Amino acid sequence: MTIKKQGLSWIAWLSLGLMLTWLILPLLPLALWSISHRWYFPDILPSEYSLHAWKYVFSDTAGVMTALGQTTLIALGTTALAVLIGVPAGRALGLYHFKGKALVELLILAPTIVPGIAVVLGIHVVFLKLGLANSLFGVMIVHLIPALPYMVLVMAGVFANYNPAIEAQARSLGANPLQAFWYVTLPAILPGLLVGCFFTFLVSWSQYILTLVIGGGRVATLPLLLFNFATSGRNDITGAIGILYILPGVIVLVLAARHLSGRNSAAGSLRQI
Amino acid sequence: MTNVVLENLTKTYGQADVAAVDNISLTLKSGALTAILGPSGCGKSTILKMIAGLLAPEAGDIKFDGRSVLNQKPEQRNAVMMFQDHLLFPYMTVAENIGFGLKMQRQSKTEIQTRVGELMELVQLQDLGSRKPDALSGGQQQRVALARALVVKPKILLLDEPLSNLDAHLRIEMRDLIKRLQQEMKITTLFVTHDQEEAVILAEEIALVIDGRLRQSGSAPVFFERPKDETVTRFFGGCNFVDGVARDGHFICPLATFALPADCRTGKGRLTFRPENIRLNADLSAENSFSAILISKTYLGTQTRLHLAAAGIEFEALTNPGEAHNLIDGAELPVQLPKNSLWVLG
Repeated sequence: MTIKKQGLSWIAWLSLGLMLTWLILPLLPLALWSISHRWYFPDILPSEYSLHAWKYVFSDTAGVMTALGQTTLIALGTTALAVLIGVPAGRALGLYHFKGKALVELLILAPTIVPGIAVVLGIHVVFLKLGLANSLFGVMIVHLIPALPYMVLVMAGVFANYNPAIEAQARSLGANPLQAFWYVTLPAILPGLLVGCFFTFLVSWSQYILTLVIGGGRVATLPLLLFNFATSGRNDITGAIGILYILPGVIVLVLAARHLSGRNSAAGSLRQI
Repeated sequence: MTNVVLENLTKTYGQADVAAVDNISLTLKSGALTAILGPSGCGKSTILKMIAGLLAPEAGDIKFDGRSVLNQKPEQRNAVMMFQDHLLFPYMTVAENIGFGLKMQRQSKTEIQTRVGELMELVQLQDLGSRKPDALSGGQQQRVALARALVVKPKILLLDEPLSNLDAHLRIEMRDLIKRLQQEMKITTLFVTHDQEEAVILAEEIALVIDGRLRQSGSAPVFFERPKDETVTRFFGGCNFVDGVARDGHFICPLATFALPADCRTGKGRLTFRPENIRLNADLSAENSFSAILISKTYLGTQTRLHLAAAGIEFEALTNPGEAHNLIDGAELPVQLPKNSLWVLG
């Protein structure tokens, strides 16, 4: 038993080390760039440091904060819409058998296979006609295309392991449909729903081409700014925005790990070992 | 105490031509336990779901105290269903599960606490209120489900095979608990089961449903002594049928001419007699006795089943193993069918 325990611990530490190497090390240059003033080849570290890039990012005039706000708003809006569509769709796919189910599943999966750049110009024409182009709402809608499949597939998996009779039980005990959903259905699907929300949020957060075309330059998000600064050679500002940009991803990763592994967080399970 | 009446209840699933529930009319005695008995998949659960409001009948009516409830939603009917799987809410504690119905009625916290405490005592779970359902045994889970159903004082309690997932000894315990609580609280109860013994022990009235149709209803002895037809007889373990003619209080058939009870039908018919009512080693000069040959015997533990034949007709008798022990296959046995144990089917 003790040997096994030691072996486990050794593997755990190794994988932790590897994870840190892969996840944290690539971020180090980003952090360094954001506080560098002079950093020329072949120096390993910057020769001069300054907080200039961070001052710029947080200044009112640069528009980075506005972009951060808009990115967040769009990602939240997309997630909310994805919940409204994805939960009923996932329920239908997970619980019921109907004609053409395989086709529906394929169509839902399709946007994850077809690259956005291939379809965005066609969508742009349609959105112009519908008056959805150049608006925040239009960008949220177009973000649903790559984001919704994740929500639907996660929820279909959740509902495949769900017994709807428990809702009938709640109704029979005097719960109206809303109460049955709130007290019985929601707690049962919540872990999966949160994971679906994390995915949706991140997919929307990292959209570039769809935002660029449908937003028509009026909607500025972090990926657009990041791309601008990266191509114009401002590595210090790119570094600072980059850090802001990956922040929700890291937060979501930690939260998702908690919910993916049930009640125990990643840190908690390490402690148990 | 609610009087519940089902009138010509019919339900068909999908495009099937066969109705799951076919024109069933039944009056449930107020405050009593009625059992719907039938083989698996005969539409028993469908009847419960229609009463609970979870399914809409295609035709017919359901009345509580004389008033149709068809336009009432499940949560308005106060007809509480308890399913075969306990279906406890896994994220709530035992106490929260039991109090769920009261919470939906927006009762005060103190009221809920008092009622939940009472119910937990009734089902002997007073120390487990803070546990989660998955930390309970199967029997305890089922008792929580029963308490959760009873706490709202339902107009009618609908039990869908609540014992079939339990081990044999737990089943008896739970069966007795259901019977005791039902009698104490006088809740009109409908109990669905495929187990004939369960129905006989628990129910004041039994409704036998086969293939979605009500075959016969009444108190338990009726099904053993006065079954309506061969299907009903067989469902309750009857296995002896002899064709013949009933005339002037006697049944004439190849076995013998038997004296019949007064309420038997006359004309062509089928004589039936239960295996446990056959008297062995009778006096051949006594009424309704004749000689039979023992073909074989099957040891059943508490009883022995004898396979007998006379005049080319085979029939079965049940006797205690001690008596059967001395009997040898091929032996000639004098048997008697007591007059009051005979019945003629159409």
